[in-house]
Amino acid sequence: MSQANDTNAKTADQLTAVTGVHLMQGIGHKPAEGFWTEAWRQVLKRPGAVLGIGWVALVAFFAVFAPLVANGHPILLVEQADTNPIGALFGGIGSAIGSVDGARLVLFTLLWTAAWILAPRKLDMPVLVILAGFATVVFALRVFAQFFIGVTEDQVPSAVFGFTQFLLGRGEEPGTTTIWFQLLVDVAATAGLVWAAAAFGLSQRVRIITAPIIAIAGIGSLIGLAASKAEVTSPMMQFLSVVDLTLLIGAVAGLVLLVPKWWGARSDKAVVLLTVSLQAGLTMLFHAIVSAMAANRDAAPWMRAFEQQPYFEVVSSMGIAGVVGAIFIAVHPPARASHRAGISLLVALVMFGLMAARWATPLPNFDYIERETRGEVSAVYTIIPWSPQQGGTAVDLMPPGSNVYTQVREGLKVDLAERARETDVLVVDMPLDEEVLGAIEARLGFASESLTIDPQAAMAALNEELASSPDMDVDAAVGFLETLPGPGYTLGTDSLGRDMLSQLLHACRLSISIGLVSTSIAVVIGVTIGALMGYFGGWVDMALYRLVEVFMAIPLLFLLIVAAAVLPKNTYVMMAIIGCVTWTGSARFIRAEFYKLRGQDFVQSARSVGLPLRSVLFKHMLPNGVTPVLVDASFAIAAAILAEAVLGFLGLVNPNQPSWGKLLSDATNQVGRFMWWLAIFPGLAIFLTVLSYNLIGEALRDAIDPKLKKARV
Amino acid sequence: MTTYIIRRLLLMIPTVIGMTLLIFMLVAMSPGGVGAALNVSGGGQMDSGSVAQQRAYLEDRYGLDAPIPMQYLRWLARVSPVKFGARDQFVNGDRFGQPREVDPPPLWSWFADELPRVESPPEIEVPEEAEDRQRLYRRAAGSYAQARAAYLGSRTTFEIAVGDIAKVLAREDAVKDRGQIKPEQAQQIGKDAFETVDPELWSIAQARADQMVRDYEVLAEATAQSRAVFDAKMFRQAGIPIIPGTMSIAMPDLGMSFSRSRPVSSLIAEALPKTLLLNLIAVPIIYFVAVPSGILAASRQGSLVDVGLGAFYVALWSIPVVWAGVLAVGFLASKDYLGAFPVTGLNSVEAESMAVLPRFVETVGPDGVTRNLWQRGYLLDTLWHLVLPVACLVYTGFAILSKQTRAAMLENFNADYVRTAKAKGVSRRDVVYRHVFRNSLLPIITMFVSIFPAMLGGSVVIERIFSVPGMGNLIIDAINLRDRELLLANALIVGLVNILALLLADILYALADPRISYD
Repeated sequence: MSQANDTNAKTADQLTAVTGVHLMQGIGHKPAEGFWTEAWRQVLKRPGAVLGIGWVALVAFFAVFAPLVANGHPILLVEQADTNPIGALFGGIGSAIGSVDGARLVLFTLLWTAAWILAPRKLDMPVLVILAGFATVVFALRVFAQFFIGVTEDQVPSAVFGFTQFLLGRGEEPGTTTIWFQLLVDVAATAGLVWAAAAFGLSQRVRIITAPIIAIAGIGSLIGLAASKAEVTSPMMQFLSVVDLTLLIGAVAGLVLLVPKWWGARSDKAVVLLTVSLQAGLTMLFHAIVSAMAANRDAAPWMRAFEQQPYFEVVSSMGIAGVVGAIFIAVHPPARASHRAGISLLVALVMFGLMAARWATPLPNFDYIERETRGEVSAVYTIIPWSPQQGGTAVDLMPPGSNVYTQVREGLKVDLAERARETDVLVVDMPLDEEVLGAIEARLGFASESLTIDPQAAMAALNEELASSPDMDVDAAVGFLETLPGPGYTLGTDSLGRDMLSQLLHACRLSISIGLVSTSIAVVIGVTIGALMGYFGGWVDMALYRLVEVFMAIPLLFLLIVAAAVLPKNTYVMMAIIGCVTWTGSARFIRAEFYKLRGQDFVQSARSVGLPLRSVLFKHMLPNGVTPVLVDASFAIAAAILAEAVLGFLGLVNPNQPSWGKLLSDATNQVGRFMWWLAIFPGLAIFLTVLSYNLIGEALRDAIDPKLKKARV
Repeated sequence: MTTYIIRRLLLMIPTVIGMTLLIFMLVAMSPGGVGAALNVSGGGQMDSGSVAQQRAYLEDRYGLDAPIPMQYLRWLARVSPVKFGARDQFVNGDRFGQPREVDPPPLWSWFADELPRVESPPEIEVPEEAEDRQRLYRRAAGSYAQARAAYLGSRTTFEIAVGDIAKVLAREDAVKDRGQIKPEQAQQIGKDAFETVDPELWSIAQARADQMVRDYEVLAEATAQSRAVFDAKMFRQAGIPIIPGTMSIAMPDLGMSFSRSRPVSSLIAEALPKTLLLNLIAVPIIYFVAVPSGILAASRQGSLVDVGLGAFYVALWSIPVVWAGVLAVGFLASKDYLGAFPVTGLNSVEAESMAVLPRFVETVGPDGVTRNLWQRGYLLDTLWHLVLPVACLVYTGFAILSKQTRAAMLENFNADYVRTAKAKGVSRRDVVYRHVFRNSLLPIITMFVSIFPAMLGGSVVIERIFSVPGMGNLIIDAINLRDRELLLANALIVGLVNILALLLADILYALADPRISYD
């Protein structure tokens, strides 16, 4: 189709004018642009809107990647001092390939990639069934074995025990391992890949393009093996939560799916992606609910008992992923049932794997810096080496640019001023004698109780510096403390000593999700109620409009504050509250549009052929009347972010979730002092985000509603 | 038009009911439910028995012992201007309601043969002197309150005694959280327990039941006495009777605040003027800035001025109120930085002693010399305190109103009569101000009605930041303390103002523009 258009355009370029005859011949006919494509083009002409999109994209980037940018857990950690973890890792790869497991991984990665690319496009039904059956049985056995991790010999019959130990890859003699079942699993994976390629009839091109994913997965496993050989761990990866991992995978998958022009139109792919993210989001929501219920100390006794079982995590993950996946088989957009089932099953499988592996993130213990200064480990950190929860590393809040030694230096200055008053010697003239060094050591020792520093290492560094430059004076020695290695706080800390920049970045996720989720909830409620009001009119309208009026009568902020104060302080609950309170706008827009539409011919004919109400309302009328709601959505997102800021400021949000509004409230909390950095940076972040959405909304509205543009004085 | 207004006014009734029901259910859903703040006020020192007694007393006093829907209906009956039953009376500002009936004590038939009976209420001689009447009321009301508290206390201890028996029977499911027996389970427990339980426990329960029945008798007498005083109708009655004795119209009773033990109406009467003051200063400022800039932008549509003003207002609109407030407090009011403005409240402490207008006051300085010093006076002091809150309140309004003005103006610039005027050679200035602006005034004026309620909501945060003791602060305190009466009364008033404003806007539109008709 596009090919044909291209040739026509070329022909038309050679013409001096396109006449009606040409048009009839199909020459010079420009393909009509979609309504939204045209509107989007108009939006992109406005520099303000482009800047706004850029800022939102930046916030969205950090919403996904903040845990990889700002994390208190090192990327790589070796339990040996003075060893470069990266070098150790490369050393490990060599020995990994030499080992049996490594060889198996390399071999099968090649086999998988080859099987995926070379598998026949069509297979007979019996072959397909055999392949699928074999893979299912082997994988089911593998999952079954998962239940028996940690089971001892006397708990189950010996035959079952021996069998499950074989499935888990444990040898006859305690402490030995076998790879026979693992080999079977690898073969089953090959069979599964062949089945998938044939069952979906994927073309050669598609398979070649997707083959690197398999290769990357294999290489990733190999690196994991190498890390375990070299005893390199990655605390950062261990502490990523289910949400973090889902977002990372989703972001990569979304880019792979959306950016290239393969597999159909982008809008179709976007719809698929949206449904997939809805499925993943619902799964994570249930995961949050179930894990909170299980962790609750007042939970029902059966819940407590269930939580104690070794198989709790696997069963819960499977249950949640399965239930949500089963619902979504019916919801997914592709028309063919097999595709729908495939997509929802894939998402359910991924989510199951993530949840089973990371049911609950372990309690963090941020002692890496301390251990590193003690010379026990060596580590590679992220760019910003602080986690948002990582408080208590400092006794008080610190202004931007300070590091963990700032506090010590400030204390020393007080000490030295005291001494100067007693001895009548200016601080600059003071000799750098035993007493001053003793004061420094005492301060360091005192501070190490609250700061993550090692007094011995710091004193050793100072003595080394003194040896290399003997004419160092007291001021220089005190100033030297700040140059000691220790991670700094780029934008300062909050009142609990938590790094500000890290919190700002991690709060991006809340900012993005609160806007999107709560506005989606509001639009869904508003469109449904507004459609009913506008379509039926009369009594339905009158009754439902009372509901709208109830929500309009109470000022939004008032209702929000009441609801947020009395309901549990939970991020999901807050999104639901904001959504349930702000739907009146879209309801009124849709109501007005449907009033106009319901008399029109296409609606009448849709009704006259006996289409169900659902079809008339949402398939015929809604696409013609939804434009004002979608334009308004951009402003609604901005309003939701503002609402979150207010709730955060009043302390009505989840205290464990970093939030810009909450940071802002810290600025004036400390009596008598104004922490300017706590006011400026989070406030600026909120402001820029809200401004971006408003600018995008303005541009979109001007593009779609050109009525006012014609006016000229 | 009259029909329309009446229709709208009638439709307001379900809206108001729905609105208060929404807030009520939200509070009822919260952990601890309605009046949660009351329950924690006991502190950790008291044993569970006295905590239970205190809670029983408070629940009875504020009517929290009824089921949630019943509580809401009671609240609705109180605030409804149409009242059923006997009218309340006012004694020296106190509201004197009909004394409540007393339910017979629970399980009394186990321990006593018959309930003490109270003879028909004594006849009351109405004294001539107003003072004597009040004394009569005070005595009756005092002994009634005392007897009621005593009865509730002994009833609670009795229930705890039965609860202990249930615990001995291993029937923990029949025991409430503070050791009291659940009333619906009590009969069954009694049947199971009568023979099997240690006589010691029974004798404790017996002793407490005796006390309870005695207290019940005292209460029944005090109630009868109090009712007799009430029935004598010797004080000013509330409202206007419609059907004497059964129906009347009276001012809504907003109830007593749980947390401050004061009538809600007096709390609101203190706070409302401060919020109104803020808003009534802010709204004209919005108009004076936004309307001219909207005209300017519309008359030079597409120019740098228009685009610049638009961008500026969008930016202004995007500044979170909390941020603006914190920055203003931090940089302008805090002593660390500029320190030019007061941080909290609407008046300085010394403002009470000042005259209204600024003047020179003879003051003795520290060096003993008398000088004529300038004193800013009450009015100026208040204005000085108002600068920052008002500034934070107005800036978002600029964007909305100026955008509206611009849109209204542009719509008229398109009209035929403007083209005609221009064709006639009318000067540009006259076209803008005499033709277009006058015709665009209507939506601008009616905007007032929708700006005002929005600002009532917005001032919640601003009052919190600047510690202005207005409605917003009252609301947040009420929410934090789960003070149901205060919260519901606030919701009612703010909601009513809002709905009336919406109605007023519609009426103004119709009055101003003859093309709009609601009939």
